[in-house]
Amino acid sequence: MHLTLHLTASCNLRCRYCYATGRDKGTMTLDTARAAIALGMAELRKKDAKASLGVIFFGGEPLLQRELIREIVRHCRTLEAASGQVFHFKIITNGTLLDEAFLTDPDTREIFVAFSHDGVEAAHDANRVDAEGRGTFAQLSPTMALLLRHKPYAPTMLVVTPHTVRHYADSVAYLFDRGVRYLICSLDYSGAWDAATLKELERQYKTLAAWYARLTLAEEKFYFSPFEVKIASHIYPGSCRSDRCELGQRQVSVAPDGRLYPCVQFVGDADYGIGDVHAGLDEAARRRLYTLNAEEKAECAACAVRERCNHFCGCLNRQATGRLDRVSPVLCAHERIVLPIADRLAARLYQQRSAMFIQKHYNALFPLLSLVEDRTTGIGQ
Amino acid sequence: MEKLTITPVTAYGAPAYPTRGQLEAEPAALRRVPRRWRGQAVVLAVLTGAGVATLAVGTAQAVEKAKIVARLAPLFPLGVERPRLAGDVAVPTLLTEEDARAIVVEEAKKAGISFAPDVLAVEKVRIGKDGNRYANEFQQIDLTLDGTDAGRKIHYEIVTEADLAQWRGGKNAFCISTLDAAVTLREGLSQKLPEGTTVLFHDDGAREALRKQVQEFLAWLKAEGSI
Repeated sequence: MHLTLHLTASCNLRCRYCYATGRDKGTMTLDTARAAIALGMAELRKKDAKASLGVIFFGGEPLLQRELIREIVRHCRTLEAASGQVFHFKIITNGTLLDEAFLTDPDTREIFVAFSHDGVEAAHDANRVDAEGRGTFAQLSPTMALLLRHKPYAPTMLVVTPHTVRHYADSVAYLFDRGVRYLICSLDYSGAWDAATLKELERQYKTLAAWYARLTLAEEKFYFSPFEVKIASHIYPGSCRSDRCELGQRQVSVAPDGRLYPCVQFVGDADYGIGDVHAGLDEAARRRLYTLNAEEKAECAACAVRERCNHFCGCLNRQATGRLDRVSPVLCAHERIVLPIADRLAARLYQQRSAMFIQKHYNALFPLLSLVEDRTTGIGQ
Repeated sequence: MEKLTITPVTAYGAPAYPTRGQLEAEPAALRRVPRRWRGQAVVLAVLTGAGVATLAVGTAQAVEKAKIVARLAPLFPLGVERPRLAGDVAVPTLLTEEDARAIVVEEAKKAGISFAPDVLAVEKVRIGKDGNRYANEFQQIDLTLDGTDAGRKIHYEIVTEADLAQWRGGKNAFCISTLDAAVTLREGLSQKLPEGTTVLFHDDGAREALRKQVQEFLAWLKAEGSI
């Protein structure tokens, strides 16, 4: 189980596709964070007492609350020693405030860092701008190098908009060339996509398929989420459904004021509240949202690829259509584009008997083997 | 600006790579070790300790060849790039059994594989009723494979309209694709495999597409070190 702590609603950037509504306000107190963690531990005990509780630092920009992060980590370490409850930590940051001190501080150096970056300068600076509207690409260049030096497995989250789609393949290649190996890519589903930009998206994915094949045949290790997820959805039938967040079942978002929501995109919207850290989870509200989201969407019932599709992600649907039970047409278009390209790519690599492809996708021990290799060759030390 | 809409995919061919469960019928594949791991004693020890690989570096292909007793090649469906959408209802004109066999034999011959017709019979193969991969009911068929290269122990079967009609007792078979029928036949054959390598092709009406299937199978055999 994961608790996503929205430490602050403030952010030092003004990304043009940001879904934050401004309805959530303020900064989380340490007491609220402590209450959230106590709630998370209680929930976890009901399901799997030995499991690790994930604490995700989120915002706004969570590094605006650096001291609060340290206090929360210390609090969790104290609980670990006293109760045996294991914790793991993650921060999702725009990177602008990331520095050596945070990456080496005894309290924060174990935090898994994921950061947002949209790739080449033209794509990144089109949307990821500061309060004065200035792009942050140049500022982040040394930060990326610093982060990857300390945390070579740090994932980078890239958002593709209709305006930047023509840079998609170049952006992915740029990030890979900079040393990023975990690329989590998503569309701005609320963007004004049309036939022309979707056609361009298809062209970019075909370019990326060639890039992916070339690197895999060269036995590079990397993760490019759009293809990995779709390939896995065939290799492990049913994985697409079982891996979903299940709205509030596996992760709960905690607003700065302590109110609880089923996902980060709902924070501040009272219609989607599922309790608060002091009164606890509102099980009826949580169940209602879960049930609403889990129902097969009528317009998708006859679709031949619905089991491999992400249409049941209520968060994305709400972002695009305003309702979690109404599927985003952009998502539908994206799935129809990416699925056959990913399948053809995988078929080609399988038929060529690419050892890296087979180990990566079929061997459950691949992450362990990869880690062992890296450790024995000095990567990630 | 035009309005985007939800557009269900009405048909989507089976991907030409196996699921994890299907790969278990082909354990040699999982023994493939990336070159970058071959000098990594610790990595290989983990692989070996996990029972995933037992091969000595440098002798991988020899070991794999020796271990091959009976195996099924993957399907090589073409046209997966474009899912069929609502309203896309064109029915292809299929090849005759004789034409389809001739294409397979001709292409295989270029790689030195010589198929003799109707040599090997496999009894009681379980397939979906009427050759429908999605059917909840099953039927058993006695199958004489279309061709065998006895020396190389390679067998092929091409699923044609004639096969479908036979499995359906002569009824019209247009509503079931030959690819879907090949999928259910492949599942059934995996339980009744003859010695050697067996491959299934399917006729979707295009000579060049069938030729390409055979070429992809030959490339697969080559990648396996079998030819």
